[in-house]
Amino acid sequence: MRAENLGFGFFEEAAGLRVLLFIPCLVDQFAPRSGEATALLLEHLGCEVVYPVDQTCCGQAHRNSGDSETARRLVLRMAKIFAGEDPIVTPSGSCAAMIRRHAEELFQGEDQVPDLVKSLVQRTQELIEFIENGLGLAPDEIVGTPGAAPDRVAWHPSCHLRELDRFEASGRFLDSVPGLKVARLRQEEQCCGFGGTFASKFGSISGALAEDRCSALVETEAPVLICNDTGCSMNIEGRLSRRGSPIPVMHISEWFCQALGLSYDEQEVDR
Amino acid sequence: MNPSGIPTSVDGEPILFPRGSHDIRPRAEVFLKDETLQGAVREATTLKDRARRDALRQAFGADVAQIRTLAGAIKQHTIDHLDHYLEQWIDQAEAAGTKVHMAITAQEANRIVVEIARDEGARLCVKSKSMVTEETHLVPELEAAGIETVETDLGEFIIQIDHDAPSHIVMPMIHKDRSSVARAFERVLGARYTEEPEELTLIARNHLRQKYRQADLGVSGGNFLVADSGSLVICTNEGNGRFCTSAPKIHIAVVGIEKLIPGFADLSVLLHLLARSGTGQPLTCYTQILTGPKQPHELDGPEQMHVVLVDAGRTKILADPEFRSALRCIRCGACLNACPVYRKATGHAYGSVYSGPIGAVITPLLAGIDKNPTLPEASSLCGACHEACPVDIDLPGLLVGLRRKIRKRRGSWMERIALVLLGLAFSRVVSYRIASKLQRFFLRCIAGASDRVHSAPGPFSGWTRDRDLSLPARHSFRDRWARKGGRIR
Repeated sequence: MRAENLGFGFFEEAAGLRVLLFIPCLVDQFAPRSGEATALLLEHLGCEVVYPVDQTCCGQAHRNSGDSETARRLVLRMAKIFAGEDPIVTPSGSCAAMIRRHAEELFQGEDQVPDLVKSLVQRTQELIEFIENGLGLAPDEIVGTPGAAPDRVAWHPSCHLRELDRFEASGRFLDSVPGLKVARLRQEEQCCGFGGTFASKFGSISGALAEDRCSALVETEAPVLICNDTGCSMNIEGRLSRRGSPIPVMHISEWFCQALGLSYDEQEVDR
Repeated sequence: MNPSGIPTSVDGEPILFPRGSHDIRPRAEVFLKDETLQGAVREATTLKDRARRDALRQAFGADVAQIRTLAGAIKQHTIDHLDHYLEQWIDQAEAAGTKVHMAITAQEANRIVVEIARDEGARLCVKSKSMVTEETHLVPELEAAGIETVETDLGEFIIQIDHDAPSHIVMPMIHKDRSSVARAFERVLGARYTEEPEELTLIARNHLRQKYRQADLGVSGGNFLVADSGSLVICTNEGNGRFCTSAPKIHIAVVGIEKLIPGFADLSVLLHLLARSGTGQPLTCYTQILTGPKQPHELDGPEQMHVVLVDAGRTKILADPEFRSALRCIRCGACLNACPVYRKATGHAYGSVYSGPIGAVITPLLAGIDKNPTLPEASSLCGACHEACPVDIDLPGLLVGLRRKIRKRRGSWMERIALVLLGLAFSRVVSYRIASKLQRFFLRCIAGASDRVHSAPGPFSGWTRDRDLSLPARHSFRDRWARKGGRIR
């Protein structure tokens, strides 16, 4: 049943669980393939994937910059667009954490948090979190072997997984994929230096942190880095490119799609 | 060092408390290039950070989160009822014979200490480590009054004779290496040059022992004030705190009012966490609980015990419910060790006694946001500090709160416009799409023939200093999804 449901729009019978796909702006603009791999993986796991087309941004940039009015407006907008009962799944730990941990606090000055926002907060999950907790699947129930995907990878846990209590859990999930050797980075718990506007405002500090991450990655000799946040990937990729260490950075969903032989890259990303 | 005797940093400003508005970046820029400094700070912070995790795991297993929550609740409760506990502590302390003084400002705190010293004719003061006296700049005041003052914590002693300033709450000389210590000992104490830690420690010890014997005044800080007994608790590792508080005939403790806790049961919880979080030790080597001066039936101890309770901006923080939790801090230094920005910028870049995440929060609150506008911005909000904090202070949340304040008061116009435009772009799909196209066009233009941006202008130049930037995809996720006939709503 699952094997037939490759590709988008072929899932005619909505037999599985319906999920709403939350594609953060950075994924939409810079890493569309990780969004597609996420959708494809979810479909493969029996979900009916629906993309609410009116979505734009969760408001994290504004919240972190201290503009809570705009952030509140954007959260409310998102809550309306994602209204309903279905789980909301996103390939970004950072954006999931924004909704789960910070959306409600933006309404503190108001009488109460709108029900729509409460529901948004309750239903939003990061991809691996959803697979583990929402679908109740262990890695070996998804893949038997790395297949065409690299069988040696390095893992970059994004900081905002801390806020979801997933910092260690997501790494463990990857560790228990049959046949996959996961290298842990030296100073794994140290931020890669992204932090949104922080990376530009404090370029030299941020750049030094990115360099720490890249030199740790090179040390592992892993052929690829797996990451689950586009901000981190852009940062690490950017530094790898500058220092001349062309190690590819891949979203965790892309690895699973490759391992499962799901083709999500018929259309190469043209920049 | 400048002519006034205040140690200065690479920018010519005092290391602590630069004049005017302070920007963390120029100093960080210089410190980032100092490989010895970077290596020393990286080693020490990662070592202590790991020691903290191991010690907490060993002691509490899966219950670490619970004891942090409990410790946070204890401190929060105490500061929420500070008036009550302050009165209780004062009553109990006075009943035990302690002379209690209140100082609203830093200057007042210094004046009180100097006056006591003068009245008693003190000539030589031995002092143990205390952050609040760094905050008030007590030592120069005592010296100006003709009272020789010797820092007795080894790190602080080295910093004092080398005319330097502490760069970490718990490891004040984290930025110095052995050779600089050896040179200072050679220069100031006339010792033979050696880089052996044991020998260096012995040199300092011999020097300090003489001072303890001669001193007529001991000054300390305090880690906790226990309200129901009127006690002062001091946690140290070198034993110098004991000498300072028992050998001289007068002991003056200078303590921030936020150090209060209700009782000994609470002390137990916090002691379980303080040393584990700071250095990875189960307890510091010495934990002194001092309740009043020497009693008639006792053989030793100071004849007079004074405690100067310092406000110096703390009640201002207390009055603001949004930031009050910052007063929970027990100065363990765990957030500094865990902080990626502290590891790179290093302590002196903050221009404050308090560096790292807690420094980025309380320095603007104590000394003014306008004087420290970059501190709350200097964080990737990675959350490592919150995770490390034994009293569960939501430091990233407080930093964002400060950013809100900055935005309201004095945000740059360029940033305001950018945020407004971004807000507008995100409020409709149409505008979002237009903005995406514009962004791609702009980045495409500056990338030239490359598929990456190597050098971006203006506010984006920080990104491309040490990194390239990938171009956005020609077709966004939403376009590709639509083309492939994905389900939409």
